[in-house]
Amino acid sequence: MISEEKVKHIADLAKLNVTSEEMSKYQQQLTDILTEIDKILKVDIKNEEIMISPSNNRNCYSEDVIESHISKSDALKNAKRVKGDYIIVPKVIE
Amino acid sequence: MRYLDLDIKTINEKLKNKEIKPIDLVNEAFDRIEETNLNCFITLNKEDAIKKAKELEDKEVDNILFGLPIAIKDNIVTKDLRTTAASHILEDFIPIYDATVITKIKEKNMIIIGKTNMDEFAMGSTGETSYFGNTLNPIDNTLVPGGSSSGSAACVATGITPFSLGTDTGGSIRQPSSFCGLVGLKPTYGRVSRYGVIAFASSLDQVGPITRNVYENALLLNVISGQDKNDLTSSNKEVKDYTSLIGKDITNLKIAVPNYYMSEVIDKTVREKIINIINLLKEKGCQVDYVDIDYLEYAIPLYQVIALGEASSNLARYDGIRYGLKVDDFKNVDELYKNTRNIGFGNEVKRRIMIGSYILSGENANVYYYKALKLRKEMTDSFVSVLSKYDLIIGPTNTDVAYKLGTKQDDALKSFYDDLLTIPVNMAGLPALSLPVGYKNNLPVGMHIIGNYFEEDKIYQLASYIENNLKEEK
Repeated sequence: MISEEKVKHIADLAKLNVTSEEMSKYQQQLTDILTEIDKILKVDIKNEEIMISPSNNRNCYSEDVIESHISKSDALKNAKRVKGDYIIVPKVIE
Repeated sequence: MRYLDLDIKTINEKLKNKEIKPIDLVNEAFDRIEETNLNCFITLNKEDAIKKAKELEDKEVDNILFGLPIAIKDNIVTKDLRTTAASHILEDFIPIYDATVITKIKEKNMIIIGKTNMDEFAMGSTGETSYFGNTLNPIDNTLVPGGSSSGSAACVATGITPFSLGTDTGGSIRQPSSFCGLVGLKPTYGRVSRYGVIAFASSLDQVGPITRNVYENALLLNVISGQDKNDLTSSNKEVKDYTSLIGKDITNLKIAVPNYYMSEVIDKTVREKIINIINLLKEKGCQVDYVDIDYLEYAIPLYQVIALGEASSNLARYDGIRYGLKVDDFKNVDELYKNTRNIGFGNEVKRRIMIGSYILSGENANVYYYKALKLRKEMTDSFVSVLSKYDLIIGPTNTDVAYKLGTKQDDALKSFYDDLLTIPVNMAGLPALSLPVGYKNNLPVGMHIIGNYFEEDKIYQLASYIENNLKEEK
């Protein structure tokens, strides 16, 4: 079973909180999944080739032309706190 | 009589000769929603659908899907129509643009009835992780309809709409189609644009059609396929007429059955139904052989690394700032993120993001993710090797039929094991369809037909033959 500290660390990576009531449940469930995942570490694969995506498309570039995309009002439409053309966020520098 | 219960060609004729109007079909769909009460929808599009139907009265019936009602899974964005991915975190999200598949169905003048219920962010195999409550199985309301495209399947199965769109990352179209007795296709990766699909695992996700029969499935695939400049993983391969091989002779098709798909893990009755089909095909003169596909036994842990890794990255965007839920209880930006996400996401989603974040963090990325990418390549090569000798691969879609709502809700591995036979197909990016091939205790059994890349037409060819030649009573 993974430790409480490890669960807290994992939750922090995912930007989530784990309450003390939820702790034992998450310890168990994360352990179950991580134990399952460990199975792939035992597979012997000689080939070094990897597959990131089934797509075989090559990188391509768009034409360098000016187009209109999203209007300011649309871009701000779903934000909860807006002032003028800005979204209000908490202070991030001291 | 309900016009929506007729086949599409007949409805199309009636629309053409003005015997019925699109509004009649729209009204039938909304009447059926009220009669059935399966919680298929998160958001209805009633006002807009009626308006659209009235507008169409003055237009020429120029294609076979003209004026037909369709339901859309709620992780596909629709301009000005609420799109939640069945999550509290997007409960009030109003998209500012249409997904490419939506633009395409609107061009054909199909009418969107509403946005269907689903597992939250498509993470689940029963519909039960939705923030908006379970979807009920129309065949038996005490059972799960399957998931994650739960509402899209239940809605077609109960006759609300003849068509729906789902998405499939590890089985989310095929599994509910199987549980509800429908035809559901996950297209080849890149066949259908993902632009405007709320991302779960970007290298696995595909949009696909869920319908009552094979022909109508191919009709809808014809419309949604094609390259899209807004999705650079979409393919420039020519869009075929996917109905073109339906009805063509299947005698020369070579068919493989993976031993893994017929193992003891699969319910006995389900296996018997597949053996019936194998016999049917052999009688017809098809070559059917049992084969081995390597590494299939690692599909679930492989999926957990790839899908959850990609999910943790994709779901990092829900930060309480630009859109979606935002809590007021925070002292700094880190608390804003954490408190918003803690309230906004359900348990299944949180668990999956946590695992994904962990396996991609620091040295773990090398240990787990890189190993997974190598394994993914090997498994795919094994599929490709079989498909170089055979036209199609068949087996069951699921290990069993639909089961009771509320089964093993606390088991973190259950939803993955439900997708045991569907996940490998997403890993390889191949197209695959679920076709109803009989019943176990009155519940539909689904057969899986897996094809080579961009050979959806051949899948439909075989599926249609079986659909027409299988004599199975309930």
